[in-house]
Amino acid sequence: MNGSSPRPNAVTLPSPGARLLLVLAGLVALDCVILSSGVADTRRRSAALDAAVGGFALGHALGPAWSFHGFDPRGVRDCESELFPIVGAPCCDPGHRASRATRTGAERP
Amino acid sequence: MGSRHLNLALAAAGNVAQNPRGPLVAASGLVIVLALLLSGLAISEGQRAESLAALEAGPGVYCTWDVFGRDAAVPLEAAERLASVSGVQRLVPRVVGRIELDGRIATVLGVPLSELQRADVARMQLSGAVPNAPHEVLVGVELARALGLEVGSTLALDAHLLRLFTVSGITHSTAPLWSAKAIVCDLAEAQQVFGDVEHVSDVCVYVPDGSEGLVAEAIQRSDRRFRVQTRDLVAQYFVRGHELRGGTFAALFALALALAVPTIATLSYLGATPRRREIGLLKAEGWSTAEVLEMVALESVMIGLGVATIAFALAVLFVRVLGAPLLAAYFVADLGAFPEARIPARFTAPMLVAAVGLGVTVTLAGSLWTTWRTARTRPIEVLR
Repeated sequence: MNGSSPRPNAVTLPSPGARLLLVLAGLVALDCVILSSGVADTRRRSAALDAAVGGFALGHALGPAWSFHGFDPRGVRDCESELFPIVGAPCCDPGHRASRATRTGAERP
Repeated sequence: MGSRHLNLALAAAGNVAQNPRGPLVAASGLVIVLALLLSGLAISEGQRAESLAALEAGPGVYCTWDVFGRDAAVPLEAAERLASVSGVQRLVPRVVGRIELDGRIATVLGVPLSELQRADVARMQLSGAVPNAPHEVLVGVELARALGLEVGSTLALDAHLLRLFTVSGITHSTAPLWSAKAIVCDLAEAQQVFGDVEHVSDVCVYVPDGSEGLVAEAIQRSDRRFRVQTRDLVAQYFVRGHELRGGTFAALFALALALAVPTIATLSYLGATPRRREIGLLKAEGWSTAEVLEMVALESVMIGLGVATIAFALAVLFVRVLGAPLLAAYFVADLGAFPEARIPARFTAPMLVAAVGLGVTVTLAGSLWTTWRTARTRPIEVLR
């Protein structure tokens, strides 16, 4: 048997570089599948409960533990935490400085 | 010409595949930073889309009351007067209050039972049913879990009066996030619990589409003490606040990504001794500086592409499967480190493209400078 000749039916593995390119192509394909399958979108599909109660809670907090302003600024214009414990001191509400709903002083509805 | 670039690409892929240690160390840190950045941006985008959808589902105008220039509850008789304003189709008064339950702060939301009963219950994402009688309440998933409540459990609400209620339904983890720690009950019952049957917190005013501004002006003219907000105004300040929060988050991670550039440059420099020999040999064989740079640039593109695609898949896994523990609390205060409620998130194709761009830019910026310096040195000096 000649040692240098390839065995019949032997599978030739691609070079490491080509394998890397295949892996990269696979990763791109995986991300495309994730995007197109809807797995990457975890928003709820229905606003029925919001419709029933008239829309609610656009604030940064899940509850009014610190203030109703942080929970739903529609109902309260100001942050009550700003008055505690020292009036005029910086607000102690941990989420206040970067709320999901903020106003400037220019509007006064 | 094309085959030259293809050969360079194959040579670059071969280099990365055969010497994976250096790229792996640099890339693994970058993957984590990029995955967290993508998760945060997706949560931010999901919240924005979901909140705006909820806003669309609500009324066109919201009314509260103003006393001494400060917010106050609306007198019921004033709320009823709104029905006579031209263009008003329907009024829904609400009571929004805070109550302590077993050491936890919960939101009590009182709306007329008729409003809950006319809703599309099948699409409400809850176990059990909406309240059908004054003594029934709907409880949020996080609150129910914390208090050990099930459908049929008895719940005592104690503010001004103590009243007993039966849990008729519990929201699913996929229900709106605000409902996770809320109790929804009949308006009159909420007024009784808080001991004020003469006032409501606010009034939802349903008007024909496009007439929000006119109705708001008419309400304001009817009584200056009304504080009136249209849906557009609410959307405007919501979007502004949302961008501020998302922007702060992105700025923090931009800093982390910027720090990744010198890290990769340092790693390239530390691993430069064998690389310098390799580049010297290539130059001695007749490669031009441009060709060496192109090959290294292609290596960086491959590493950046790999980093971005892995980071994207990991980010989806982190948010979708694990519920974005720790990170979600940055966007929603009071949520807890390991929330039961599902975090709204939205990964988009532009995010993936941006991740690839960032990954490639960071790796290119970190590796090209050291390569260029080596490639410009005479091969004899490099190989000495």
